[in-house]
Amino acid sequence: MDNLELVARGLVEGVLQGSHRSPYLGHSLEFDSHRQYHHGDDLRHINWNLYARSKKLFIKQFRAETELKLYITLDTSASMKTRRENANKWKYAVRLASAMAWLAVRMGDAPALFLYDETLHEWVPPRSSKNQFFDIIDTLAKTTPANKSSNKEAFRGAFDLIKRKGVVVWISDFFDDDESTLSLLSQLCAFGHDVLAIQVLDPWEIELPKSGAYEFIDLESNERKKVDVGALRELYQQRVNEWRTRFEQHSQSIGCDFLTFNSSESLVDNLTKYLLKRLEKAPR
Amino acid sequence: MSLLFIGMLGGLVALGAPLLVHMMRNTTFKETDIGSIRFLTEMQKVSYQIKNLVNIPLLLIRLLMITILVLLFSRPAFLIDKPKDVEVTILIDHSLSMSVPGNKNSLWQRALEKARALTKQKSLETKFRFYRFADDVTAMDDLNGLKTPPRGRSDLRMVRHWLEGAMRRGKDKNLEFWILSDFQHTNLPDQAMAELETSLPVKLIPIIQHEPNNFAILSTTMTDRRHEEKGIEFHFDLLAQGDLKKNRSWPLQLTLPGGRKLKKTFFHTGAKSWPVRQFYVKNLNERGLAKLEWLDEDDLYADHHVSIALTPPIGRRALLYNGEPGKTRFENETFYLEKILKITSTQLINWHVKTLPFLPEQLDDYDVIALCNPGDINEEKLKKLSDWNQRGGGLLIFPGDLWSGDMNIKMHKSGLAPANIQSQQVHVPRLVSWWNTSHPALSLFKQDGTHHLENMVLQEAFEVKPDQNAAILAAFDEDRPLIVSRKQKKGIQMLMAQPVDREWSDNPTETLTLPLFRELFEYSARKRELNKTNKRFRLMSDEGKPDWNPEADLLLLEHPSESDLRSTEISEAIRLMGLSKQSQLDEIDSSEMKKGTVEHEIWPWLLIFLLVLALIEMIMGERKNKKLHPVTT
Repeated sequence: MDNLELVARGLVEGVLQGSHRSPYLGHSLEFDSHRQYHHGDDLRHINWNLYARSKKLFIKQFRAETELKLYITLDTSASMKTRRENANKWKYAVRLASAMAWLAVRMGDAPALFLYDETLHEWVPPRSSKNQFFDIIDTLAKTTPANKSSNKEAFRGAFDLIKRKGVVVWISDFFDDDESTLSLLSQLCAFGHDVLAIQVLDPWEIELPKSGAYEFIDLESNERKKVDVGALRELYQQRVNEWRTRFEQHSQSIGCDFLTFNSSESLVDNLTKYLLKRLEKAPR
Repeated sequence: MSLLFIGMLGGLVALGAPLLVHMMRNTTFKETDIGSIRFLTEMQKVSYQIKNLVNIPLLLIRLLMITILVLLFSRPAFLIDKPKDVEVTILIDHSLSMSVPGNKNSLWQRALEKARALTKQKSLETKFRFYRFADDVTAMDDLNGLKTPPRGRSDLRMVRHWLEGAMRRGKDKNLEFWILSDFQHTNLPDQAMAELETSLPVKLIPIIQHEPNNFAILSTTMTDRRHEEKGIEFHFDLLAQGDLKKNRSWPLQLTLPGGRKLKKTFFHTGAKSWPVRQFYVKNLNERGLAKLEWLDEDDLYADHHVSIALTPPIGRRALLYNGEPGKTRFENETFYLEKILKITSTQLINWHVKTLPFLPEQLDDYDVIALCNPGDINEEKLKKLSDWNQRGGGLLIFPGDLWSGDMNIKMHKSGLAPANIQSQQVHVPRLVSWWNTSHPALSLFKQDGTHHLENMVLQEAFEVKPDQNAAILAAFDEDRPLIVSRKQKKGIQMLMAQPVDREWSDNPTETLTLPLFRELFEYSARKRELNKTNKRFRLMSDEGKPDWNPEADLLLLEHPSESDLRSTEISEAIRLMGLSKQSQLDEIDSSEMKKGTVEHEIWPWLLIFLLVLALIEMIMGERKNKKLHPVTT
């Protein structure tokens, strides 16, 4: 993971070029709006100047004053090791996590990192200092994907650490128990987190090659399967699409975002596309 | 259906290409990592179904396309036989010699009669043309009504040119020429005359006047002398009387036991009497009567056929165990025995001799085993030898200087020696003083004179003490045994107190060695029935080569009960004679000859089929491609 800092910075600067606002608003003491005074409101927030002009009592409203917590949750199971000639799933996921961390630091927020496989095995608690970014990338650089994945077990530990509401960025290939994944997404949303699930997949996990005979090795279970991909390709893609669609539809229903990134595609492009979309939706 | 360019079928090798690609694609699996194989596992069954439905038919279609392409290049065609009409041109000698009057008619008249008879034998579709020739060839309207008497000299050289011209002019026709002549005083050499029949579709039909001065006596002395390589020998004399015509053909037929017939035509050289002619028939192992006869009875005065009883050869197999191989073949213990048996092979008994310095595993391959100066043979081998001997094999023992006391004991223990042999040799010269003439092995030596064993002078004999159940067949003076014999169950054991090599004995130099040893071998040999062979008979020339040259005009005739052999024999005869099929068939059956063929090529149909297949392949390929490259959104 050479120059992970530079890579993350480059990514984020590229993403934020032309945009002057953070996609995650509400973290400063910025005035938002007025509303009429109701009995019991804090008198300190009455706008006396406005009262002088209009003889009516209005209360000043402000955005949230607390810093935003960005919980980056990264799957480090063996299935994340998948790589092709121009696509490295783990590298892609790490860069994505780093970029998110730098984005948070740059905006003055507090990024946190959770690494899990069968259990939650590593975490960096949220802080808003600049050193936090280096802590995160150090941790990422030291990690090698291994073991099976069990997000149910992992989040059992993680829920205690992410009690405070924030943005949860969950990076994984989601080759796990589907029901468990969907349930966790629902729980995270129910706790009031702003959830962004990013599924990172190898190109062959999305779409098999056009032809050829391959013996596929499952990186987590080490099972092997001989396949003539030419005959199977269409059906395979159909199943993968159905699988992804299920996640997307569920996420939509519970109000969180679900994205699928192909590790052979440009991370900048994918990230820019998503963040711009989010900016458009965000309140001004 | 035939293929006009059959060599193009070599292109079928290309079939291997799609098969190879298919197999390679289906057998080599490249290993690769993937996050999860759960979707692949789910779809494994479906995968095979799809493969079966799409890949295999596509492969078959591609193979079929290649096959059709190769067939197209090979130009398949239906060859339909279209018999051509036969045109027979009959040329009758009208030279002066044909005017010789006979008992009833002149030769000219006889020639006309013969021509008429021959025309009747032909089918109705046959067209005939008639010509007469002397020093010129003149057309005749028919075979009747020509009153002009024969005159001039017959110019067969001119006739040959005329025939060649006629052949050129009618090269598309199925022509046949018959020349009826007395072939007297012709200007064509014998060789050219013989070639005329083989190079052109010509039949020479001799018209001979039967006169007291023009006949031959077949004086046949058929023998059943057998040659190892050439086969059985027949030879005969033909004593010609009178002025036999040069190049007169003498068809000879040999009917072999079983009814098979072989025909051979000899051309007379013009001499008053023929030298002894001989020929051989190979692979003749049948017992019975063979008949040799001259087919042209008209011109034979007497003895037009002779018969002879044939005795099948007796094949015997001998193993000569060479206990002390010498540096040269003359020094070998077995050298003289080999020579004796080889010479014996010219008689009715055919010896197959094998010499080995050891005893082989398979003793049953031999009828006689001669142990010549055996040294040390292990007991296991001796046991096998004893078993073989008791089953009927004949054992001859010729001890030499390698014979030892141990060997003596071992041989006795195995029941193989009919006598106790002392290693010490007694110096001679010694004479054979007594032999048992009533014993079948020595019955030949009853007569006085050259067959008298008393004439043998022997050196360096062993002291031999026969066992109780052994018989002395011959002895030196002082009753010292020379030959001892014993029966062991079905087998015979014989022991000779004399070595058989030149170094230790004078045996080989004795004139009686050959008949004596031959008799001993024949007597002791296992008696067994010969297997009948189904091999074909074949005439052989004096040199032992197949007598298939055109001059000899050899012809294999069909025997009624062996019609299934006919095609093979004809084809082999054609191959061996190096003749064209056409000329050979002339001799066999003219109605079958010169069949034309009409070709109906089927390449347009194949081309259409190929195009249809290409279309199907394209559609299926497209379908498969769609499966391979689905449109993704």
